Amino acid sequence: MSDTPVLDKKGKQQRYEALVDDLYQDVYRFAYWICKNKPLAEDLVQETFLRAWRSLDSLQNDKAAKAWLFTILRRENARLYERYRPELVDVDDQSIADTSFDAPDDAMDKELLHNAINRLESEYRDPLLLQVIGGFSGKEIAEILNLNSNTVMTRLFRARGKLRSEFSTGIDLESDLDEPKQDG
Amino acid sequence: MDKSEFETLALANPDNTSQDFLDALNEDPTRQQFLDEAKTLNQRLNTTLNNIPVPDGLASKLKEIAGEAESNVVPLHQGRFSFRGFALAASLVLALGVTYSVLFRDSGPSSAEIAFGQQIIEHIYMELDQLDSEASVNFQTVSQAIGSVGGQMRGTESVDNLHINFAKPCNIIPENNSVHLALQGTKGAVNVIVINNSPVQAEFTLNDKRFKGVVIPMGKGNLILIGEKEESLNNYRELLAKNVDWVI
Repeated sequence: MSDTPVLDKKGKQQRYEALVDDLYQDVYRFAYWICKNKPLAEDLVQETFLRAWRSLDSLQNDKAAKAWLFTILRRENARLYERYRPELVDVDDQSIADTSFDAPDDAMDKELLHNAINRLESEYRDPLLLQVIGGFSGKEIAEILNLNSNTVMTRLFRARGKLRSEFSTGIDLESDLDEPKQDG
Repeated sequence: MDKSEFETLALANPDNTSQDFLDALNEDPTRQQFLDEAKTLNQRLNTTLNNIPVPDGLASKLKEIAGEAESNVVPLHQGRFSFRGFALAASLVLALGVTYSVLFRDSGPSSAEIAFGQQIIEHIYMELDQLDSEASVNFQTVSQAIGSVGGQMRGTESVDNLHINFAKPCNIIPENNSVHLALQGTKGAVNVIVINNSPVQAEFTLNDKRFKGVVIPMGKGNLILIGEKEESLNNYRELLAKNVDWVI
């Protein structure tokens, strides 16, 4: 992808398609874990990229495209959630990916972890998704979520702590999981 | 770095490579075991989160969206999304259409006007994070923003008393100039949008689950006011009419 906006029609199309090729899988997976529903995740991704197309000229640097798309998607999800609450199929039953070829213990581990992730509150889940799926740094996550960096790191710590407590790896924590009052 | 702080950093980011973190790691042999276990958890997490299969053909669909958007001015969702999305869009279009035909025109709004109204509402949702901020912009910034679309704002006492927390050019319709101001209303942000060369030729109201608004033709463009449903927009309409000269 280029670093600067291309304004002509053909250039815009090429820029957009490059953006799709580079990022659609990450955007879909982020959508899926946020809404816990495959068809709705696909709708969210389509809506996100449509908005991206319409506003592509406002994206000054393609290196910021992933953060931009994830932000659009979060807003779109919030809008849809505010307008209506779909009947979600239990994600536990339909999307434990690729467990059929795993050894029984591995499959059980994946299912346990999958379920534990789904039980995380969004304030802990979202920073974790941005870090693991999006590959964003703490500072970048703070900008996307409009939080300060300390709060983000605390929430990431607490997210993994909660997962660990449900999906024990034997880690004993010195610090508790209470979140300090650090929101900016 | 004490043990608690180290564990916080290790769980927050098991791949932390900062020197402070690495130095702290070497302070106590038990910390390496903690970090190894955190990395094991993270590896499983990474595999689980990124192991979700992506639907076949999704990239092609996303590329087609751009072509459709380029060739048609249609309300969002129409003809592209699942029944859920279509029903949602249809309900909004119906709401806009009913309001418009009852108040102003027997024949109802054009598809371009419906799409325009929907784009405005969507734009407000897109900017929600910034609209209710505590920030305040000065008169000069507001005046420059309005000037960018051909307006002139007078610095009267009434205007000076407004709390304006957002003023910048926007791209509701990318090829047209527009500016978006957010005033602090009694129920939340009151959005003032001025746009050049819009498709709307007659005044009509907008209604959404959360917001209400009015699109007012002015010269070659529109003045648009949108606020929370409980907000009285008439006061702002009157104030703006008295204090803003539109030369668009």
